[in-house]
Amino acid sequence: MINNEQTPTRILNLQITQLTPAMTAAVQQAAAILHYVFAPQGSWETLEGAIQEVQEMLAPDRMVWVAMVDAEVIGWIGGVPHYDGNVWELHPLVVKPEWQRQGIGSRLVQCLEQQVKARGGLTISLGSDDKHNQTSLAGVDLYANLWEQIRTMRNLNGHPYEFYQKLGYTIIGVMPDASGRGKPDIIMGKRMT
Amino acid sequence: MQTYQIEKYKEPMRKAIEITTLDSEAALLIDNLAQLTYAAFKQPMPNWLPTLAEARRQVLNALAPDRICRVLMDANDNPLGWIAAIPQNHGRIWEIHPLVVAVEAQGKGYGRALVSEIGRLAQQKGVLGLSVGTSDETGATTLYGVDLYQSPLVALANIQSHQTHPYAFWLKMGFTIVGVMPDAEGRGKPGIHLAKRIDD
Repeated sequence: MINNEQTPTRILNLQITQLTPAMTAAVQQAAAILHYVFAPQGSWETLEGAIQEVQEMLAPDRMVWVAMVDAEVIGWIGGVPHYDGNVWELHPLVVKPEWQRQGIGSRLVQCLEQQVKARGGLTISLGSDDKHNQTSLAGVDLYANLWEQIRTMRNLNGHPYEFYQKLGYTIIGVMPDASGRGKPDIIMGKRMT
Repeated sequence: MQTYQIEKYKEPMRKAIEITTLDSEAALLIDNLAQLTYAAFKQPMPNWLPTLAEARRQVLNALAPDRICRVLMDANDNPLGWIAAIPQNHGRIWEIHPLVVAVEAQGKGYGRALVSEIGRLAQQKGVLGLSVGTSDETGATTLYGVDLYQSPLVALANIQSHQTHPYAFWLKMGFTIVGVMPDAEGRGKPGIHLAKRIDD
């Protein structure tokens, strides 16, 4: 049966908990997933770099939440405060390939949203880059007619911005050339109420 | 120490003294820059640098080895203003933060000179763009007090200022508004993001 919805039997024992430095095995697993999923896309190309990223995300002012099944990390999300905690940046979000398309990413985003609200945050922002011509915003001069280009933007090859739109996120800007000439970062946000 | 003659400006632009070579002259310059910075933001942005110690910390942060910092000096070797940039996106983008001009030296084009200098250095280093953030905490623009999530692109395309706001300065420097951060400084008080392309 092909089913993109959550499969209750598989996520029966899914737990989302805050990652702490003391959870050394989970820290290593989180880093391994980050490296495995993003290295082919040109980010966290070494495991050492991914471990360093997780460790930086464990700084006391930031937060990391991990999705675990049977004591194994299958995905995680991080939050970084900006503007004195009014804005929290979602960074990063990753789910193990064999666990994707089962609603775990959405669950992690919802978890982060609850935590940001509990901490008095007003907005969640995120940057989702387009390094591989996945949208109509790649390979063009975004400094001209930017708003029209965003209004008529198209998803050419599975860029995650539509995943976030389904969760209520809005495109609030871009950073042109952030990942190289013609490779913008797409900035999205959601109001916390 | 490198000095530059800026076209049109007689004052030399100095590479900010690195903290590793802190000597008595550097200590004095850092004190002067802290004082100048505190005074410059006291009126327009009292919450940003509430104390001289905070201003001093801004100066010291800007002297960190990964940042770029330049000071504009007058003919008598007194600082007129300074600028710093933070490399972002693996150095492809330089975020300007902060730009400071002494209160008594404002309105004479020194801010423009400092931004041009950072642009020149960025081009030398192969940087692809400059970015800068400014906020509307006071209602100076049409982005204040509205729910920007309703239609952020329309709001940004139609931005106007009721009073003088720094975003107008950045537009004059050739920057483009590339985004907004709703509620960044509190509900209805957005951050405004601008960027400028650096040509190869």
